[in-house]
Parts: sequence; C-alpha cells; structure tokens
Amino acid sequence: MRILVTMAEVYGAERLLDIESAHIDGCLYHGYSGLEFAERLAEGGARVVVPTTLNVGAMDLIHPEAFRGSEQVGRWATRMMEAYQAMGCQPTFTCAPYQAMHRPPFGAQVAWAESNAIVFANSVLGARTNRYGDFIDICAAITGRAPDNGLHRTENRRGQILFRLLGIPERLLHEDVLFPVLGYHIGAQTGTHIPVISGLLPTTSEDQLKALGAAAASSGGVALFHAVGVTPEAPTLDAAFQSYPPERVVDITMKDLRQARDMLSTAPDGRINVVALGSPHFSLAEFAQLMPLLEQYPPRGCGVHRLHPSHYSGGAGATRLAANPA
Amino acid sequence: MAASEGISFHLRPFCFVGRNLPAFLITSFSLRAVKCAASKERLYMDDELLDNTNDRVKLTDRDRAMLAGEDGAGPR
Repeated sequence: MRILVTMAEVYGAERLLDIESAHIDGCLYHGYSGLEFAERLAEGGARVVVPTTLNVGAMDLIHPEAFRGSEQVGRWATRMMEAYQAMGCQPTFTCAPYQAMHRPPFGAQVAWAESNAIVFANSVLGARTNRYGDFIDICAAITGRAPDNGLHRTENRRGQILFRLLGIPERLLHEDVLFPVLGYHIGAQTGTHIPVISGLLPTTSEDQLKALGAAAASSGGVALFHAVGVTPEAPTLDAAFQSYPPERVVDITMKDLRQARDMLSTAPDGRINVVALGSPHFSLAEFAQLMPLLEQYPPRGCGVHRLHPSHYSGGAGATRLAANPA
Repeated sequence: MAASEGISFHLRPFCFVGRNLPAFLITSFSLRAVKCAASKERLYMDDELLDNTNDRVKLTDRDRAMLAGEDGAGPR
C-alpha cells in the first residue's frame, strides 16, 4: 500500500480506486531483486484479493529440459513463478489472458501489466487500466486498489490523433498481414498518445485487433487505441474524440504500409529455416486457421513434430512450432 | 531541490527491493524529480514520503488500515 500511495502521489492522483482484476508481469525473471521482492511478499503472507493471472515466466515448467540458461537462473526463475502462485495468482503464464479465462467487462477498472494485454483490455474490451509495470502490478492485486488517474478516468480516454486509411484496397483490409504492419506504423507515429483509426472494416476480428495493438505497443507506447465502428468506445468518430477535435490528422497510404513492412521484413529472400507463430499467444481461432494450412502446405524438408501452445515458455509467450527433421 | 537529490531520495522507499532495482521505478521517479527540479517546484518532504501521512491522496479508512499493516494485506 505504501508503494501504491507513493505512486499515486507521483502521478498526481487524488485517490485510489477499487480494481476488479489484475494481470501480473513481475513473474518473469529479470534479476535476483525481483525474486527477493516476490518472496518477501509471499513469506509475509501477502495474498491477492482480486482475480489475478500471471504473464509468461522465464522457466518452461512443463519442459524444463528446454530451458537455455544456467542452472541457478533456472532455479531462481522457478522460485519466482512459485512465489506468485503462493500469493494466490492463477498460473496462467500467458501474455494473452484475454483469450481464455480473463476478460474483464466493458468499463471494469483493472490493473494489468504486459503491453499487449494492456492495449487489448483498454481498446478491444473497453476495460480501464494504465500501463502497470512489474511490482506495482502485484501491489495493486494484493490491495485491490490502484491510483485513480490516467486511463482509469473517462476524460483521459479520448482520442488524440486521427489516422485515416486512404486508398487501402478492401481486399487488404481483410488480410491478417495488414494489422501488425499497420500497428507498427501507427505506434511509431503516436508515441504515448491515443490514436483513432478510421477506415477499418466493422468485421475486423479480435485477433486482427490483437496484432494491431501489440505492434503499436511495441513501436510506440500505445495503451489505448480506438477504431471507428469497431472498438467499443468508438461507435462514431465524434465519440472516439469525445467531441473534441483531433490534435493531429495523419493519412496512411499504401506507401506508408510498404515502408513499415520493409522495416519489419529484414530477412533476405531464400530458404526459410524457422517459422515462429503466436506472439502474442495464438488463439484457438488462429489455430483453427493454421491447421488446415499446414495439411495443405506441409513444410518442405522437415516434419512438424510438435505444435503446442508453450504456456510456460519464456519470451512474449511464443507458441512454438518445432519442425524437427524426420 | 537538485534533480540528483530527488532521485536518490525517491528511491529510498524501494531499497528493500535489492541491488537490481527495476529500471521503470528509477525512470518514473527520476523523471518526476527532474521535472520538479526544472520547474523549481518543491519536492516531497522525506517524512511525508516514507510515512504517507500527507493528505495529497485522499485515503479511505481501509486504505489507512492497510498502510498501518492492520488489514491483512501482507507486509507494508
């Protein structure tokens, strides 16, 4: 609570508010201090008071033999994951909790960490969270409280920059490949402001919005975006901006998208050795889309021996496609 | 208050975290300290920060109980 109150002071928040759930990123091992912090809380009897899920950990608990690191780091990483479970956190170990068991309703006040989860919760679900980081996240979960500022407040959720899609073929608007590229471009242009995107199809899927948000939260510090006619707080352009004019208007053309694609595509042409899928975690819908494609176009020169969501893997929740030589 | 004083001062409540203090805390507090120093705004008093006894944040009775370690919300 002392940390939360101090953070509230720093942010200029006048009060704390109740939260309904939390998603913890502090369980990913980055150094011994994080382990000390978690074990100190757990040994002191701290327990979360709201439903709390865990982001990815540094150790693969199901396949520990797959861990590539020193034995000591592996041990500390495991202890850290266990400390958070001891505090009552659900051992979900996913960067996309919203795809399964953890979907806060529209307007719910939550304290989430993990950039892609934050932007999804705010933008697609209409829940309300700031970009919480390691250690503050568990403080909020233990107390059930968070500073009442930033994106927790309606007035701070209005759009700021309007991005207009100009001359983008409708065929491309249906394609999954558009969304990480578009998100990357928008994030780089937006920084930490709130972008409003006009021109997306109303049929844009959750997985496409997931990809857009994750990319925007990587190239920029985007915690919330609005897509007019798609996301819940943007039924109209006026609603997205809460009747204010945009601070800036940016047009996005095919030229912009090609430039963004080229920045992301650094591998030369030629044989592909590895395909990594699922960052953020693959959804069931994406698996349903992938499996027939693998049957139709099996990888050449190797067999697909294992395809599983590696919920206990490190990194940003990669789903591993292990294509071992037959 | 000089920015450097503000930084070290603001890190004090988190000393128990250990030697590898997470960068985000340093960044958050450092930026605030630099901002305050630049604007010659007076930063918080030491006791206020450590004890959370000021009234800048309006706390409920339950918040205060947790601050005092009386509400079962783990160590302070």
